Amino acid sequence: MRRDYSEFRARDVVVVAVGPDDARAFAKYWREEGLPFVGLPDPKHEVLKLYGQEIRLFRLGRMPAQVLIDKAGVARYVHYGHSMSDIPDNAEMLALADELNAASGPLRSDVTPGEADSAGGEDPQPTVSSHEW
Amino acid sequence: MPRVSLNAPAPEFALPDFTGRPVSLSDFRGRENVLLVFNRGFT
Repeated sequence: MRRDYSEFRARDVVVVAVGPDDARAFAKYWREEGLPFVGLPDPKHEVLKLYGQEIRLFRLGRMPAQVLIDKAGVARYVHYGHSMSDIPDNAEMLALADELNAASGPLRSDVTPGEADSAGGEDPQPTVSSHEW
Repeated sequence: MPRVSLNAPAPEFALPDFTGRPVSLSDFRGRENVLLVFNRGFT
């Protein structure tokens, strides 16, 4: 994941890692591993419960899990792994990110800053495409 | 490994990251895709 992070960034993907440990444990782990992405301590399982309840993501024993959310805030995929070190098939997640970007219009790098700012925080409607999810 | 397609609105959340910086899902709306990674813990 660390090695591939630039590939995620190139696809406008921000990685946010959520776990039950406290901020001190996160800080230690991030320092030791040199991780470049966001670490979100969730000792009360707030985010986990939210996702478990609202989109019924998590069943017992189905951890870790990765949820890919597009720029419109829609959860597109969930992917289950086995351990922290196993984090995912990055190639597959990168391919999914490409699909999301293709479906939601131009990459941010194709948009001038002025256009991006005036977009009101919403992506343009996807153009008609024969692509199927 | 299973891969499930959802197409459901992702619940908004807001928590400080481990450095104390506030992070909300809506921070990224319209600008970034988000890969949310849930882990059991480090130990």
